[in-house]
Amino acid sequence: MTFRPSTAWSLRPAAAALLALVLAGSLAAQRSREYDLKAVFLFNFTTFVEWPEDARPKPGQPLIIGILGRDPFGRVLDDVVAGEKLQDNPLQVRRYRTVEAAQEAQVLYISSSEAERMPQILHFLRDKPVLTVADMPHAAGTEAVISFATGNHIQLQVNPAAAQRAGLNISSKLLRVATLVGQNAVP
Amino acid sequence: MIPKSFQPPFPVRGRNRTVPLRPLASAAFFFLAGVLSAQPSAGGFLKPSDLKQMTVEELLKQDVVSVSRRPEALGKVAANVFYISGEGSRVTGATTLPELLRMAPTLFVAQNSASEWGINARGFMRENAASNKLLVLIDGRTAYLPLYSNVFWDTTDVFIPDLDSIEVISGPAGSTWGSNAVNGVINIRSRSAHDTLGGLVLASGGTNGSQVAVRQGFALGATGAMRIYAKHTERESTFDSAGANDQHDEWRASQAGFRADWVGATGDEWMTEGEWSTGHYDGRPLAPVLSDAGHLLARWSRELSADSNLWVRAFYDYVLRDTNSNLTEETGTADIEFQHTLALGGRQQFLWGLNYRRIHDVAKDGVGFAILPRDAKLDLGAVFAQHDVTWREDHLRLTSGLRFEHNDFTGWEYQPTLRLAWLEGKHTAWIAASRATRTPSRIEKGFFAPAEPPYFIEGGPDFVSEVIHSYEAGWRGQIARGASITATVYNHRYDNLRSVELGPPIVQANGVRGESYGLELFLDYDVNPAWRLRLGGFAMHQRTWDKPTSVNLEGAKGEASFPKNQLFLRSTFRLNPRTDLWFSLRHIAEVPAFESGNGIVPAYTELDAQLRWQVRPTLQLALVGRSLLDRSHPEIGGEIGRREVPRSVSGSVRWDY
Repeated sequence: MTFRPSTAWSLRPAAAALLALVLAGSLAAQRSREYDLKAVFLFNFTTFVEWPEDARPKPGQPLIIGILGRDPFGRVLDDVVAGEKLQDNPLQVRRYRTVEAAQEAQVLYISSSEAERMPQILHFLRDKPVLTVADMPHAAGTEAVISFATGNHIQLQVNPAAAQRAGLNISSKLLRVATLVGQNAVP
Repeated sequence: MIPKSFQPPFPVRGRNRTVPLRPLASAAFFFLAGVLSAQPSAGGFLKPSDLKQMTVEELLKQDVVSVSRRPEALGKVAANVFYISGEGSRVTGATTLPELLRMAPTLFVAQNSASEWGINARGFMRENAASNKLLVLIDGRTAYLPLYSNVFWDTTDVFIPDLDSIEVISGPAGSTWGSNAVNGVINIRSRSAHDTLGGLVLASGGTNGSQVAVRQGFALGATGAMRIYAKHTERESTFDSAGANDQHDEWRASQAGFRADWVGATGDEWMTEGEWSTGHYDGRPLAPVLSDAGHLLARWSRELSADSNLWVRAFYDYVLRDTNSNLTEETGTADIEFQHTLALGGRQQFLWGLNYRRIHDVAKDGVGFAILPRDAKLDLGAVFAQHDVTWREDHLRLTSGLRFEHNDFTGWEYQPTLRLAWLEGKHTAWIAASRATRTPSRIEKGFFAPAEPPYFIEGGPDFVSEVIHSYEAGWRGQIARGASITATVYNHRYDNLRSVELGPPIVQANGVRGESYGLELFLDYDVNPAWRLRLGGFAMHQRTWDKPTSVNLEGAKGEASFPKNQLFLRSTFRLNPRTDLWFSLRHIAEVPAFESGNGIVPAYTELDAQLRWQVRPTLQLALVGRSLLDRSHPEIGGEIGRREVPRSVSGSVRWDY
């Protein structure tokens, strides 16, 4: 064994070489914060869903994205929808304490803080033309139209049967990239 | 049958402790610099306005950085981590944890008997397969036993079909995971009960034994899920080198357990799991060896806000290992850990926590020796913190961590780490410097022989913790379409390794120093969608020597039973949509047995393979062959008395309903 403990085996040249090598790389690493992403998803959902005629806000009236339960977004969701319109309807964020008040929203984000009440909330909204988005995996299996499953990436779970009951028409563009759950999960 | 890690101990004539202040000081400097320079901003992450320009497909591909969900992910960017997915067990047909761990090219896995394995990364294993420098955690519960400073892989069993992932970290990780994470950490996670709804029956049998595993998962109210499972394993005896004499080490083990996950009021996430297992082997010519183990664990986490998360985990673990004439240990461990993670603006994350552990360990006297005190209550407390900061649009990331731990044997120990990563497109380069410790075992502090005074061997009154200083550098990157590489080089320096010092009286002490360096390499190549190739392994060199003050009866090479290199070639090939063929060819260099001066384990090449047929979505058949190239071969130990691992062929049926 020729190796001597006193010989400092320096890693510096190796590290420098590695750094030089990767400096040649190009694309920036793409990473996003969870609730920035979820806010953008909520905004996007408005373009992938058709509400029944009588549930659409009148021209000039706001299309409401509601938050039920603890608000994890801070100002992010408000900033994302600021100045945005869907046809003639400006988008607006409203926060609710009760599900009765929240039924006026077109899109309703239900925070994970409401997990325990989730079945009751979803049952109440069951036949109402509200796009329910539960921030809790497997909620779509119960009644939510969409649920977020969060891991290294965001995964969308869509329950077509729940959408149908709510009278919502979800674009195939969204269905294609989502995991379908609940009854009639096969499109 | 000699228990692992039990080496008749034998001086401390001088204690050499080096306290390297320089790494600590620079860690503190970088930490402060990071805190001062990083102002809250969205830098490093895509802005919501950028995200709005993306398609849904692109959004779904975004890596999510969530403070709350993966606090432990901090710092792993700058470390060599190999992941084995839960799917790994289906691909390889592994029915035991060590078989599955053979997937990790950084780990040397050596089977010593029907039920015993030795596993370690980066060197340092004894010829009886004991390795005291690798920490193993299962859902956060330690499987490392304080009496032996070792992991018994027979009792460290898990319900393999419901594994979520195994994370194999090579290199020290004591600042995150605590003492004894010297050469690496194996982090085993089981799947959430939400993901195991439904039933499963898995039966396998063949020339080396059989196994039956059943699980039933079900919903628990509206927001919960639970599974219960049971497993029974029988493994046939191994043979001696002549292939003639049955070694009477056939192993039988049963386990049953449960796991429940649910979301409580205000979004709190709860998890609880429990398990009981019992094992038995013949043990002739001595009496049978028995083991019982059980645990109960609960975890609670709450998101205080989008930027802050709280987490508490507690467990109680019981192990009884009755080796009759040799050494019998009964250990109860109660442990509670608290962790708080918070994001400080967009560029910094901070994690801190507290841990308290109480171990009650009772050791029954063996023939001619005792572990004193026979009944020991040990307390362990720790406080730890980790800080992560990014600069330059997230291209540069610095992680600093520090853990202070107090134990009854050696008092305060500190374990710092400093890791710097450069992320550029599809490449990451990193460097790291760490210090970690291995705390003394009960055997090292309290081995007395004979069992009553006057003693000939008097424990290790001055035994202190083994210390490692490690310097690592690595690179991960995509080198071509479908091809990626992971390369890591390291230099480990060890101090206060165990020695057995000439008396009188003979005592255990820290008379050995060591150094190792090596390269770990992994290439992953998707030839086409149906064919995946993997090439991986390591080359390393380790050297240990007695300190000038030491008269070491054991010799400095007690932990040198480790191959200089190993190489794996794996292929997964989909023959048709329902059938795939997996094989793994491994070459392991010779493994010395200096301790007994008893020859070497010659280098060997072996082939494992599985042919898997998904008959229906719910029904799978598989044919597995292991160590196919030889009738039998040894993997560790001296020539005399070691056991050989025979070739085996088995079949399995898996039914999901």
